[in-house]
Amino acid sequence: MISESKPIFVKIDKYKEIIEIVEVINKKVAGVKQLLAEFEELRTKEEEELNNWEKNLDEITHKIELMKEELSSE
Amino acid sequence: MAEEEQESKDFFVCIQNPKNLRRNLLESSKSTLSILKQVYTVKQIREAKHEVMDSVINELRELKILVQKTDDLMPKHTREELKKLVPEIEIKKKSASKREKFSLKDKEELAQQLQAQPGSDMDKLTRALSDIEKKLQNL
Repeated sequence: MISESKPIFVKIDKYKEIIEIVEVINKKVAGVKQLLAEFEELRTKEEEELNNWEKNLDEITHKIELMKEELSSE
Repeated sequence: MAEEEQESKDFFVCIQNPKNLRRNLLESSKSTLSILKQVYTVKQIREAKHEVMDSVINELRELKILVQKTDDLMPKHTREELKKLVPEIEIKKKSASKREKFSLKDKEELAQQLQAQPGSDMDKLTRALSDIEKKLQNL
């Protein structure tokens, strides 16, 4: 275990390759972020649809209730 | 005879506002169709969500491989080599008791891991995470 974190110089044989991979990693992370934003958008849309769904159901219940009243009134 | 019976079963209801009733009926029908349309839309959204999720999983798998590759490309040195390379660095050796404790802990963890269902993706990820946490603790 190294007692303190001090800068050290080490030889990296495939420096260029590492840098290239890091660049690819950055691009991939950006891509994942984009996908997550897309996912979030879809989730919001789904929630909106489900809310509308509930609204319509309430509306149907109300209308049926009115019809029932109309049919049972003398 | 049958016709008479049928007539006696007929029941007439007075509808005060037939237009309203008709409207309510049509609107209920409209709302029902709207719900059916929404069900279809929700289904489509969920499919799209699945596709996005699959893409995220694939990207993350590739990321994992890339990070692993970077780690593999980084130089690895033993304590002795490190001491030779950078003599001013102080390298502490773990005490024997601590090592024992660690090995006991490791054994317990290993037993737990063996008890868990082997092979499932979740277990593999849990194991990989605990490995990384251990490495971070040892830094």
